Amino acid sequence: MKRKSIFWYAIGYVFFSILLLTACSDDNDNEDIYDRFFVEPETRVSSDGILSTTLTAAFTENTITYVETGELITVNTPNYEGSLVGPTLISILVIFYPLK
Amino acid sequence: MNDLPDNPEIQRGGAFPHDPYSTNFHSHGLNVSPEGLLDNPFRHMLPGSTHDVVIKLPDDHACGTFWYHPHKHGSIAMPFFGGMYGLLIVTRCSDGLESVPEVAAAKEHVMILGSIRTDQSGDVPLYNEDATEFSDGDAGLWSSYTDGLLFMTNNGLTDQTLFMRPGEVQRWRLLNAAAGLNKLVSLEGHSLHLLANDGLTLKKMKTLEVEEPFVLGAGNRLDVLIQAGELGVYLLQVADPIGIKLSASATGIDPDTRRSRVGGDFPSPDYPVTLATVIVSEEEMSMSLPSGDLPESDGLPSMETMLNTEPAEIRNVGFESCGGEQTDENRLPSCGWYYEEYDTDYWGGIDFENLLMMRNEDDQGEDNPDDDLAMPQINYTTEGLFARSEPMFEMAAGSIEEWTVYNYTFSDHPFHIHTNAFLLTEVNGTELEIPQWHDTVVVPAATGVRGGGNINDATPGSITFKTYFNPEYSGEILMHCHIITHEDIGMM
Repeated sequence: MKRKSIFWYAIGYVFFSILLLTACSDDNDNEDIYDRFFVEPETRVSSDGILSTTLTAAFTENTITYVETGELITVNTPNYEGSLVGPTLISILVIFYPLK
Repeated sequence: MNDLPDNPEIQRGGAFPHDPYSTNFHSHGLNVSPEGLLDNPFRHMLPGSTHDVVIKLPDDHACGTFWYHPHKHGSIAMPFFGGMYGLLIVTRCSDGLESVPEVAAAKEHVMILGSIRTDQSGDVPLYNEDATEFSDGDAGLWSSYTDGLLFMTNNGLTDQTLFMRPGEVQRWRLLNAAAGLNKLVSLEGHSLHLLANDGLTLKKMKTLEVEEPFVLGAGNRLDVLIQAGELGVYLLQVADPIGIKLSASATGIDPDTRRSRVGGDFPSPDYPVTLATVIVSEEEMSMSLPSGDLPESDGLPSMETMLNTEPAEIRNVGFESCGGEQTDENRLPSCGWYYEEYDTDYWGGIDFENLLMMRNEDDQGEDNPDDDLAMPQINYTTEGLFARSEPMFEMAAGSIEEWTVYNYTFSDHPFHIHTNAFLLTEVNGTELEIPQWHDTVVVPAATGVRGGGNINDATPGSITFKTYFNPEYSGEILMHCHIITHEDIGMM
């Protein structure tokens, strides 16, 4: 097992604690904080068995970190809905399922 | 809605990549018609136009993790470089994996693993219209990307952080949306608990060794449970496929992993690549993992039916590669035939030396009587490069067939077939302990004379599967290599 060093664990723990303090000041619960930092695509969910949506394909600019240098790079790419990943389309068959 | 720029007025023509800004819509894993307004990859949606895609899922459709992307032949790779894809999730509460209490209790995360490629200025340039090779510096098809940037993304970002609590179980829906890179995914200090390949459930959950990577081929999805361990910081990574001692393909029986050869003109990742930093913190949670059989995916014949039904046909397909550094002596018999069929005119007026193709391996052809190595060694009667007017096989609707796909190249190629999933039974001639449903599987490279040896002396890699051609969804069904840069030049 290649666990990170105690140093990095401590850095992570301090970072997380700061996040929690920030969360408390915004009256959000810890669950929100857990979810906020992992970014997921927009979701579009069917209603009454129908998912009606529009996907626009176009070149748009986005910024992304180039990990080799740590630079924030602006990229101009073909994509759906202006994002570097398209929306997640969720089709609910038969009856409503409460998504987590 | 296609708001991409107009296609270039002057294009090379022939079978060379073309219409870079035309598009359409393909869904992976939806068992629906390949025709009309449904999952029809032959539609041509021009820039400036708007089109309806109307897909009605049958009530008994499998629940699972599927995805969508453009599939306009000759112009698929560039949208992939830009991140033009997304996930499709089919779900309901009454059955499927959601009926497993341990899975239902797990928080879900979507992880779309992309490979964004640009030039140094951050733009997604066109292919090289004057290319004479697939990969050869200035003459290469993708030479405009040679000194470019590669971003290995997770949901469009390269710096994701995810929190878990000790003991917490989460369900991650992974998709490898790269245009060609296979990805060996592992989480430091943790095991991956596999639930489903390509959205279709395994018979039982399979637990990998701690830090054992899973080979996620281009186009593959994986539903996996993660149970967080002790407090700490762990990296979700893509490992370098070279030098890995342990590996786990979808089947678990392909221990020899290789870098996928998307094309030599593209920059390679700087391995290991971090997909997310996972921080395990706060109070412990008491959660458990499933045991026992998982529910079979709906909408498919039972595994027993598939395995016990005598196949109506047995067919063989070959991934083959010709050109480049091959000599007359080590080329495949099909390669000479290539020079006859795929000439300068075929490639739009400029020679193109590389042929990446899928061939009907049941076509025995005829020996060339001239015995001239510069000419065809065998004249085959069916095409090797994509030609819509010449389908490779004609299957009977409602039949169950057995296919073997051979790989006569020295690099892996992911095999994907549209419309109907298939039940994988063998890899490299070795039977799987438990067959698995897929719509995309990496076909292992040929082995035996690595590094430029004679391909005719090597042992081809192979996958064998049984598939049911659902009569509700008959029509023209595509199959192709899911290294999209290969598909765009005819490996379909």
